[in-house]
Amino acid sequence: MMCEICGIREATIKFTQVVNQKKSEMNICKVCAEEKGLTNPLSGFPKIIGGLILGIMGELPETIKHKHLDIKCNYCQLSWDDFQHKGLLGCEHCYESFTEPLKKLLRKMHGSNKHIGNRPAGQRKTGTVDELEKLRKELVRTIKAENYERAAKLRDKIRDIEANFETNN
Amino acid sequence: MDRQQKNPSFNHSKTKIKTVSIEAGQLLQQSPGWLDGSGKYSDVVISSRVRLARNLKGFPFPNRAADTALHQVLEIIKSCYNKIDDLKDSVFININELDELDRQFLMERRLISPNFIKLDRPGGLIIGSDELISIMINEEDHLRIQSIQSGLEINNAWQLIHHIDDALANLLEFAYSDQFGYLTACPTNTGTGIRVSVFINLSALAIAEKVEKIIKEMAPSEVAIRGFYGEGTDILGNIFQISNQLTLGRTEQSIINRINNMAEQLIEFEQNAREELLDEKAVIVEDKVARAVGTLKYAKILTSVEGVNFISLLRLGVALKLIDNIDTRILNELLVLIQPAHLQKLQGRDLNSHDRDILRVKLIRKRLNF
Repeated sequence: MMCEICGIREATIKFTQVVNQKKSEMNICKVCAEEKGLTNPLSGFPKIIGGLILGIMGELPETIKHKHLDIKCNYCQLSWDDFQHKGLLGCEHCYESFTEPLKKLLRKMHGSNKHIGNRPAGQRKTGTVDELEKLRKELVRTIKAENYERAAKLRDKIRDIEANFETNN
Repeated sequence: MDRQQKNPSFNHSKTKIKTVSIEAGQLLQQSPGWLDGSGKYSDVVISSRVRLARNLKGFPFPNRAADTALHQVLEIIKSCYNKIDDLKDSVFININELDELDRQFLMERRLISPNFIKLDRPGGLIIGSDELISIMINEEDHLRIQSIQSGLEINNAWQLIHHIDDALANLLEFAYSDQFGYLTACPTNTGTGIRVSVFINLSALAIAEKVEKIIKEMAPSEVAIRGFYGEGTDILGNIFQISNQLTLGRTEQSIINRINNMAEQLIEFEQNAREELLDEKAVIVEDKVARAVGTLKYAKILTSVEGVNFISLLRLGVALKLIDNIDTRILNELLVLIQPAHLQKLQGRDLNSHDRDILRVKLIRKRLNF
């Protein structure tokens, strides 16, 4: 098999990746591997999309194609179509300007569109160990009572306090 | 201070900042701390890495920002990073002052990404002592913070980076929303902005020809496995990268646990394969290791693909106690030192591919006392 980068030399190295249970491969020769910095397995592996190695053959967006939309970011003027083409958002306000289609896209991509991880340090609610204990008990009661909206808020508070403990200890 | 004004109101402080135009020579004298062969399961796992993507509120993301905005971002970060205890002894590098060889050198040490090699806009790099922490400024996001540890030590890497992230968040205001979390240029990073990866050496599984099967069977969704492998082809060092794919709708800790569990499973498979090899195919593995030693002792020309493969086999030989008097640390360091930019930096001049192949094998012999 010929090298998929130069198309001239025999490919002797197979770069393989399995992402979300999907396998893709690319065959390359030793010379191209070395030229493209692929011989250093510790510098991080490239991604392959559609037979191209990202970061080597130029970036390709990893977005899932969405239908054409005639909307623009109010702040940086990026259009939704440009975003689809490039795969990159232009600024923090794009997330507001494109909220609805982005929610759909993020759900497809991550299986969720709601952040449940840490908040930036300055924006976290603080609390003591006693308060944490109290909140945890309240959470159990709230879930039993099937008051999920309240439970979600309690969970956020608990996470904040826990995150603060993690970094302060 | 009013949080809304936090970023724009940052005055360019007069704190003394350690800068280098690049003292690659200085970096050459030391080895990255994450190659020192310490940490859990370091005979199988080479390193664990956690990186966070962050952007400053009030500035467009790098792909859509004017150079003046990028310059401001650079100055803001430069003016405050050394107020953070964990970054006290770090070095600031203006990436634009570096030529391509210097940049490639930094990439070989995993301090910058391939994207940063081509960067022709204002960008910077902060390197922590021992190179365990580094921050790229104005890559795809304003900040790409990474923490690397030797061995399977994801939690340690996370603790350190979490600490630095909090310290930065107290000095700067990040682009963040309650709905989407940390706002990043690429939606594949939105939410936690976290990417956890483990670099794992599966030599015995590769010799037993079980890598493909195991990876196919156990690769869960949400996780990516990358490496150079496949039937009937050269295998590049049998080093594989496993990393999380999803960043939103999960906590940092659950992402870390997922990768950690997967790594532990692979380690167990590799350890079993090593035992089986010694029990059933001892002569095959002994032969492979002995050939690696022999080639490295007597060869005159060695490509980097061969170099990585033989060093990986020596790592296996040390782990199986087939060879002694070789420190895993030196083998790990060699994986980086034999790369093209490192060889040229060591020699102090540009070398063509053929000259590098000659120097490479000499360097390995010298380091291993062969």
